[in-house]
Amino acid sequence: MEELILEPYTVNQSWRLVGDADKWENLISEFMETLAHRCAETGKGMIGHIKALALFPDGGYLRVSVVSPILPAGVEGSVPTDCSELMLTLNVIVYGLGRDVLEQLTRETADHLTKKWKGGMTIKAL
Amino acid sequence: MHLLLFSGFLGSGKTSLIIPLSDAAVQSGHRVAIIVNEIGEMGIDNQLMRQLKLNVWELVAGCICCTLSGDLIATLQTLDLDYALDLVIVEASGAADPNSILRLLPYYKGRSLTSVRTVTVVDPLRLSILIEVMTPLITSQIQCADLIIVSKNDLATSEQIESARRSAHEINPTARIVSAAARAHLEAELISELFPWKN
Repeated sequence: MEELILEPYTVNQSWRLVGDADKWENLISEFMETLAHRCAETGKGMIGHIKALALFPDGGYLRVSVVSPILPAGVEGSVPTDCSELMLTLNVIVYGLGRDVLEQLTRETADHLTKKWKGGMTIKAL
Repeated sequence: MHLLLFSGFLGSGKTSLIIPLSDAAVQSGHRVAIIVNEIGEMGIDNQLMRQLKLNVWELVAGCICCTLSGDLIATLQTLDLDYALDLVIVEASGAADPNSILRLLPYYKGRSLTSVRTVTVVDPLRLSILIEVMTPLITSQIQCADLIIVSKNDLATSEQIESARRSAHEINPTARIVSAAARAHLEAELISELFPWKN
């Protein structure tokens, strides 16, 4: 079999959400599951691991992990109450897709979900 | 100093097993460090382990079986010199070939390692497809294991678990094979199996 390229994409994102502060687990899971779908839809990507750690300003964390476009995200941790923002470190490890493609898919998926959830996301320096 | 090398493909559940194992070792009065290797530019698992107050050392943006091999040896020597550890747990990146890591150990010049044990974690939800697509890597990870843990037994069907056990046994007939849940809880029996000392 042809050797698949492996160019992990890592990004730090600051997410904001107003009014649905108890929905972080759903939002981040949907973000990562959708991203896994988008990677698989290209027809070239094989998911290695899409994983993230979300840290909340007042303590608490969520660790979210996706290994396949057909399996739900695994989530560990807990969300503090009434928390409107979080800092997310995301590692997108997908065989067969270059870093530029992963960056684009990640950005598009985040844009789509921030509109859907009426939130906001900005990229922070690593 | 004992060394426990955790290998296994990306997302197989290595971190979820290492965290409660390390916790249990600390609770039983042992000094433990974890070396976490991730291929992303910034680590996720090391941040999580720090949140949980574990003694973690990170090697990121490469693989300890090749590009970061020197860093692994240097970290082991630092740990040996500066800390009187009972156990070092090395979590290899999911893309690492553990055979290459084991071949590096003769370059480590600290106190001799009391024991070296390789544990390979396999994901029963994906093993069959991974054996097809990533044959050399997955085969090597399973072949060099002393102990194989079929993870996610709370998520997989009994057929998937049995199939994973059978495949792993075909590749490595001498390794002991056990199964464990995906969540951060380890059975006492498995902890005893993994610890290099008697409780």
